Amino acid sequence: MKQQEKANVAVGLGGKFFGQFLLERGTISTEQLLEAANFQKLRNAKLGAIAIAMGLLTEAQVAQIHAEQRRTDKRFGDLALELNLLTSVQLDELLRVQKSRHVLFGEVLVEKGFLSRELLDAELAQFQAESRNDEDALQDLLKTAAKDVPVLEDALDVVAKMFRRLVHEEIKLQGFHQDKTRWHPYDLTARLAFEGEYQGTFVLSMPEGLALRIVERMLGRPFPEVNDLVLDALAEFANIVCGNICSRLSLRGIEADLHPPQVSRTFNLDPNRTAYIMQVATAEHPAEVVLLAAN
Amino acid sequence: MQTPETQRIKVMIADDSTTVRTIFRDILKDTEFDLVGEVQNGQEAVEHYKRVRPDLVIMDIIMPELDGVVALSNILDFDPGARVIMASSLGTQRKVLDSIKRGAKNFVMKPYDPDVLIEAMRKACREFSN
Repeated sequence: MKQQEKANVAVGLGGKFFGQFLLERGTISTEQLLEAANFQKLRNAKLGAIAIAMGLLTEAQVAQIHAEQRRTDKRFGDLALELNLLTSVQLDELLRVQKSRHVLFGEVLVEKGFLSRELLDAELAQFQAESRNDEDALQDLLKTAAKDVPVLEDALDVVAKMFRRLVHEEIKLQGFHQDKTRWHPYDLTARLAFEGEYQGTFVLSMPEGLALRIVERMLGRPFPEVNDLVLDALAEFANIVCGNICSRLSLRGIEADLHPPQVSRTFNLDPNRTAYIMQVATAEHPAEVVLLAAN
Repeated sequence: MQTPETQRIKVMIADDSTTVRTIFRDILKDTEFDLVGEVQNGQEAVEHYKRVRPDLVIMDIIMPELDGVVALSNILDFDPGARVIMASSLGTQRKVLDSIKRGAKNFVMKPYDPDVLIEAMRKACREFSN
């Protein structure tokens, strides 16, 4: 599971990608990375926590807004206004306080004495240059493959959209390859087969932590461990993703249907089928989206 | 806000996902709709409809045993006045047109937007009453 361990380090520490970059280059240690990430998490509090600390909202009112957020795509502040829990003056003040508290990961490293200001600027410039190059190369690669597989770009786009809509998290493409020997499924894998004018299989593999996060968001309550309802919700999430992919394809004149979703703890890629493997990550968890072509 | 008993509307949902049915129950809270049945496949949907005669049915498409589009046809064969709203993530042009041609009152895409779903349900009921 070497790949999983690496991916967890890459995205699981709050410092997101810049932290991993510095770690890989030996600029900071793992202890410094963890300490800075924890500090940043405490400083960059969410609006609800700040509102409670300032006495503008009660915990029950914040919970009410969060419950409403699960029903809609609206932002915390907009809902607080709609529910008459905050005035616009109070919301402006909250946003100002949040902004004033907000600190970037690199700034924390300097503040804690882990990096000098000069070294931070130099590393940041290098990181941004490499990120641009990586992203361009990734997009080029994906576009090349997408010529062969019309569903590829749609799949990634819909996955990102559904994470935003249902999980309230951004998911980013981190890598793309077609090497099945590098495929190591995470804890849970959901899959659906397409039939009709597009035939192939969509696979979404993720660690338990991400699955629990998705289900918590979809059902509005935390789940400490994987149970039948978690598996059902994960299947439904994959079902919604693939249904929306079919809808996109339909707009391009490609009519496809779906088989019911399946979720399992193990899943092996068929060695005889071409695989398009997209490594993605939220702020805290890695995952993989795979499209298996029908051979 | 609760409405008087006489104005309440009986609705059933056919969806094989426990998650979707749980979300649907939450959406119905504080509305004029009463959930009178939850079934997990198209065959159960047809049988339950015949027994309960709800005012409105929310029907998924991809389900085991009998898919939602066939179940829609079977329900309308039994009761041509049945009000069925298709609710699916599979909003392909063919599925939407096929459902409407067969007599579905509307087609709502998943994931549900609660406001859109409730409005579609109210609209289907208003049209029926008129």
